[in-house]
Amino acid sequence: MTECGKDTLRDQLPLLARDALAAEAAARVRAHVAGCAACAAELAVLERAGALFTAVTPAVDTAAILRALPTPPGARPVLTVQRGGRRQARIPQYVLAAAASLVLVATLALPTIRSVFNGGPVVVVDSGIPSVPTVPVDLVGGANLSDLGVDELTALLAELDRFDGTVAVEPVAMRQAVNGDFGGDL
Amino acid sequence: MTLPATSTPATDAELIARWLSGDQRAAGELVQRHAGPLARFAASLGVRDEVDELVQDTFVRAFQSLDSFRSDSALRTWLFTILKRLLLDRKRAERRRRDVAELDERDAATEYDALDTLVGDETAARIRGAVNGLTPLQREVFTLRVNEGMAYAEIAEVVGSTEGACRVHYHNALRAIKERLSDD
Ligand SMILES: [Zn+2]
Repeated sequence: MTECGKDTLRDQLPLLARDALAAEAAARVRAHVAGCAACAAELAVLERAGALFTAVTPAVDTAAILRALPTPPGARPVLTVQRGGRRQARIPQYVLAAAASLVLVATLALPTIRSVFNGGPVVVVDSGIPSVPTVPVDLVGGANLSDLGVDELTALLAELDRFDGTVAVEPVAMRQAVNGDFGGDL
Repeated sequence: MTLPATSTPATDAELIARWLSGDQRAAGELVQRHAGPLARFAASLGVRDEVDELVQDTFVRAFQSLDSFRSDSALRTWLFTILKRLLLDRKRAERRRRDVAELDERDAATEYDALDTLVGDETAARIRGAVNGLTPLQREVFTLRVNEGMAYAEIAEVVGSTEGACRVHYHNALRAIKERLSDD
């Protein structure tokens, strides 16, 4: 029985044909092929077939492929990360910080605005956040709520109503959220 | 001061990790490494004008879900599997466009086109004729074995068969080609 009958050497023939064997292994297989007509014939077929397949293969535009690829997750401003087999969206910290600030200001101002608009005393709504100021809040540019007309106050209240009830977190929890501490690595 | 020469190229797994952490150049290395073999596989199965597109779609599909790729399986195997799947999808879509009733995968695979390139000599022409006459599975197995020197286990994963069956398909393909070459 020839050595190639065990199939181990013969299995190397495609690799030899494509010049993909390490020097030592290639020398060993070539030494066998030199004395084995069956393997020599097979190697010849493999070399010709390989050349044929290469001849029919067009060049590939790798630059075009790279342009078509998605951006790496680590380079995206908004990350998608794998955790427990599910994709989860991560909001950038600056967005969280801005949103938290806006909600905080809106919540603090809401009872005051309501109170002023209704003409009654300022009532502190339990928003979970202590020490809401009981004096009218200065608006941007130094204007006072009492300077605003009914229409302006109505519009302002409608705007703030969109935030109504959104803050039910302790400042500590909010700070954790802003710092990206969701209880797991992202 | 000179940096030590880096003799060992990064593994696919290392390049994937680098890309996932934001290194876009790692994608370049992966594409350089695998685009040629994927194109050769497609062309060997008779794909002509759309080789570029098919290889590009394969990479796009792979990179879209690279973060779910299991690093214990070879990226190369995965890429070839994706390409084969995309190719079958296209063949199936072609059949549908031609108003042929829904066919199963095996039938769609019989649609591999012939290699019709101009070949240099009589021997090459005979090999081409023999390859065109192989069954779809024989052609896939033979192509992967000849082009990439893939082990039967890896071929089995790509073509969706068993290692033993792939070994048989390869030897039958080889015998058919040898017989064709010995024809007068
Ligand atoms: Zn032998």
